[in-house]
Amino acid sequence: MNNFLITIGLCLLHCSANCQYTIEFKPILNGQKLFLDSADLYTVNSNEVVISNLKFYAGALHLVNHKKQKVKTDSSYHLIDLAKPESTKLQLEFQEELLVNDFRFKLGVDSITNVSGAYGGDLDPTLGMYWTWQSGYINFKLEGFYATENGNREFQYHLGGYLNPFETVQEIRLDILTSKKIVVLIDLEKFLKSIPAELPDNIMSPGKNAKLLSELLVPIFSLENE
Amino acid sequence: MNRWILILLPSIFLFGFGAAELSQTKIEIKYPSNWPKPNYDFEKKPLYKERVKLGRKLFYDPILSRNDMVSCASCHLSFTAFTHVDHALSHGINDSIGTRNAPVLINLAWNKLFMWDGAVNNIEVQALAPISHASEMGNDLVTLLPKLNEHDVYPALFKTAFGEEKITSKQLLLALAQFQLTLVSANSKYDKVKAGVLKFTEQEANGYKLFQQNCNGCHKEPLFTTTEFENNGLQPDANLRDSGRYQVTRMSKDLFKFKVPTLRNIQYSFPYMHDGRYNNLNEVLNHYRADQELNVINQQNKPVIQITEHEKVDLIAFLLTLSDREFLFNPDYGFPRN
Ligand code: HEC
Ligand code: HEC
Repeated sequence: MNNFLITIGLCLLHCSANCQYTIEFKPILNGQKLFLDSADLYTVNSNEVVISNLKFYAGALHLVNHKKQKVKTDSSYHLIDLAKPESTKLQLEFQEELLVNDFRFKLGVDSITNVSGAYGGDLDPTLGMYWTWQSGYINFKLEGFYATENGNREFQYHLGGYLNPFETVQEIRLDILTSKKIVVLIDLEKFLKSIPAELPDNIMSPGKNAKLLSELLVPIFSLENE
Repeated sequence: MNRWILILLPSIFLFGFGAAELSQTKIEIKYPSNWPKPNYDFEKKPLYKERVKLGRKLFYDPILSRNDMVSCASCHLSFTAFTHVDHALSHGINDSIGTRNAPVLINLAWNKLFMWDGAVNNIEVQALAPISHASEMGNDLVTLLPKLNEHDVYPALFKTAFGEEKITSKQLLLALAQFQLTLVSANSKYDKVKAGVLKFTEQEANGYKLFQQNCNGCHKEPLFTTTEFENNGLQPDANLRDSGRYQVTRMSKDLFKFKVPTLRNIQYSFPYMHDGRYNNLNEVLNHYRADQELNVINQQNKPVIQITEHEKVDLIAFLLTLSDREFLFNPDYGFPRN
């Protein structure tokens, strides 16, 4: 208990000098926190749905103060993998106490990075987010299935592609009120519902469909009420 | 006191190893002064002797394949300018047949894109394709890396080359790339003529003139490729259904375009074209000359070339001046003996 108080005390001291923001990505389905391969039933368009994999890149993280034109940036790429809960939380620090007006980031990997050779860390090509037969990162990967009357209907969306006119990286911009604990909701129900019915259930290479679906990802990001 | 020194010495040694640059020797590729600058950014990523040496060992080592049977050199043989002779379509693991002919590996530092359709955008990530392709080496890096990390000699070699404890995919890819970037062919008779050391025969000189008139637009000197994508009028193969560059860009203007291959060492790199459909240069020239193979899609693109049978012989004589035996038998490129 004492330790706990001391830690809190230290944190407060720390923050006044050195302002830390935490960013948490929180995927939801039917308004509830999403768990992978969950037996709890989520439904989309009145079909039961199970999500087995959700991974995406968040890069060029910016916290922006409009008035002072101040920004705090983190130029590296982060692989957010729902199977690794620790990867869903990131931190950014300001040297001074500043009001932050918005939080922006790139959903996916930009074209320069895509053509610049081999990387390690979160961009390591062994992490399942790189196409081997054709150079390029997968920006956003969602896999799962609908349980329907006629058996399971699987879907696999591996969205990426850096070549014009099918570039897929998106900018996400979210207005922030006051909190230093930013929780970014990712509404997968909204995404799955917005996919045009005539599209195939497996979209796994760059092109028109990947671009269309990538654009549909933008409105599914929002801030949890502070 | 003495005991302290004994303990200290090895730790200084180990500490020294930790700093990457210490044990590494920068090297540069050599090429004629009238050549364009390489496309690979050597300033940002210089070559190191230790990495090139490691890359060469890896290139010749079947450990990269799942069944320890297939190495890069199985399909890219140094004596044939690093292509797979006699096979129209390259053979890989378990004798499965790929869908394309292995290209030569020559002057790769000047390439902008790799593979016949340019699907690979940087030589550093090229090796991901053959290593994970089911009909080439049938492996993947997630299984390969532990195998290398537990190997008798590789951990030490990687440490010397990169100064880091653990073998990563980035190091593996860089090492393979560094070796391949050293594969420069610039010592053919053509180069010696350009340097003023040798002279063309009359026949070769005539062939050179025909070449400049008819071929240089795509197979541009001195690399003998623009490194761009073109449609040279081949009738698409109905079984392979290979639409070339279109597969990458999904733009109709790129249908049936393939990377213009270099003609350096063309004497050795048969069979020809992305699917290996022609066995000799005579057949290639017949393709460019005649219209027997025209089809609707390719008609407008075909570079139809008007030359006589005599001129064909001269043109082939010129193409043979692009052979560079010093390249084929360069002791730095062959199977590493130690
Ligand atoms: C089974 C035969 C096979 C094996 C094994 C193989 N390759 Fe290839 N290689 C090919 C074929 C076929 C292509 C052309 C592929 C295409 O265009 O889609 C190619 C293309 C290439 C290219 C592109 C050259 C250019 O000019 O665009 C490079 C570089 C290359 N291979 C290097 C390697 C390396 C390094 C290895 C080992 C890790 C390797 N290859 C293993 C058959 C093979
Ligand atoms: C319009 C551009 C263009 C012109 C002009 C052209 N080529 Fe080609 N050439 C290509 C392309 C593209 C390929 C590869 C085609 C493929 O495999 O689908 C090729 C392939 C070749 C090959 C096979 C190389 C290999 O490694 O497989 C040879 C040999 C060749 N050309 C010789 C010539 C000669 C000789 C001329 C002049 C008479 C000529 N080309 C004119 C574009 C051209």
